[in-house]
Amino acid sequence: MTPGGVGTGANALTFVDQAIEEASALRRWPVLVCIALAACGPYPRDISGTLDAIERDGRLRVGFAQLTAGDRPKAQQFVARLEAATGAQAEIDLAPMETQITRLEDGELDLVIGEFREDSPWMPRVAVIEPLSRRTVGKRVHGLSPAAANGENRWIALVEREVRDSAGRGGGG
Amino acid sequence: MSEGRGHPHAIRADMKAARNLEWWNIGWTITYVAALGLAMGSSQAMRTAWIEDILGLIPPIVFLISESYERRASNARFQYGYDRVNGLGFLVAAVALTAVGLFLLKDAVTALWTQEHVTVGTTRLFGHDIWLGWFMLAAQAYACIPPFIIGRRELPLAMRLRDKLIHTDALMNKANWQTGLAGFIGVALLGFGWWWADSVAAAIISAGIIWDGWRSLKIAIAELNDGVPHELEGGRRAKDADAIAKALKAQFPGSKVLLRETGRYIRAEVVGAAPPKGFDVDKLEIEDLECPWRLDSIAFRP
Repeated sequence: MTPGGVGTGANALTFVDQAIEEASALRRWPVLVCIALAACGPYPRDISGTLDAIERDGRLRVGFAQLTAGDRPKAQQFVARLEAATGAQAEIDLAPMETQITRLEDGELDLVIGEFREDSPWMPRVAVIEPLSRRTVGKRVHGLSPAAANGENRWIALVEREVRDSAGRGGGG
Repeated sequence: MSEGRGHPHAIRADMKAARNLEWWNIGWTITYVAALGLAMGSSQAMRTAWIEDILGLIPPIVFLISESYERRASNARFQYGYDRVNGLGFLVAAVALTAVGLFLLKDAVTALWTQEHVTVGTTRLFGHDIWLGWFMLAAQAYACIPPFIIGRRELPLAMRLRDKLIHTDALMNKANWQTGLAGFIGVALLGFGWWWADSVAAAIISAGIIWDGWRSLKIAIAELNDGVPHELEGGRRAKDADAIAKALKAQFPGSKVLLRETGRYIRAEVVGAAPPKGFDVDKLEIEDLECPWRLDSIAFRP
């Protein structure tokens, strides 16, 4: 063993053993913290409490934006799923994407459903969720996606779950 | 060392241990950089911690490169050898560290100012939707462990080798696990809906990076400007430097003794005295000199 306690070959194994021993002091705290977090009620929570408000008021404010004739029934079907999942009654209105995104950011809507490109410029402003369906326009793929306000992580998790369940998919992200 | 080939015999074993430790350091750092990279998502704190951890690769890499140069003998072009390669690489690393720290701090402050809300979604694994924040927390927790262990092992080696690069790396590793903890708390609080926690954690981490960079810059500039040797900790003049100056003044009364640091070595110059016939630096008796190998040479300017 070299003076610094590090070596090669057999000594390398000793180094790993010693490292594991030294790490044992740090090993428990993240697990304990995660258990404590999970024990503190719903986790993650929404920054602006969107899902709490939907469940409390029984109102789900949805904005449709620029939907094709084929997309509209898919969007309505998806809203019906959300109504069932939250126990709320949906209020749907139709307006251009710019208007709907602004209303979503201002907290006047809980969800926008519309067509987003994979590299949509709205992406950083709102959380665009996995698409309900896709179509190719020229060289680009457009997805019919729900979008929620950024940071509403519990609400986004619920919408993501419903998108995956509606498509019967096993993967996502 | 300097004109000779290889390190002084007294530090060869420690240098070998340091080389091995730095290879371990690089290997472990790559594992947690990969873990954080895969898990970071759009979290500002995670991104900042990730960049800090990537920057943490610079000191061990610079150490391994400079150490291989240090072992080389002097040549016609570099007649004093390569003792200062360590300090040179250190300066480059320090500038990069400070610049990136400032950039990340700007990002964090902007996110706070614009009240940016961070979205952390879910992924479906084996039929269960799992919040990506759990992966972030796990990656962040893992990223605290290697720097904690490596940093503790580097400190005694740095002290024995008088190596500023390893010493700074040890301090960086200490900062890394502490800021990893800050990142963990930031993501955990974000899960509670505290939008500002992630950006505040990112700001704390970037302040740590700037502090590391500033401290490294001061040390690198002092060495490259022929500064008097200082202790690795506390910023005091090195005890070895005091011992050498005292011994030389006693042997050459009325002269002026100048000292400068070249890498881990000390070079002395006696102004106003000529070397006695048959003067041999290796036979010079120096009381309280902890590391005799540090005294590289004594020059005379009568």
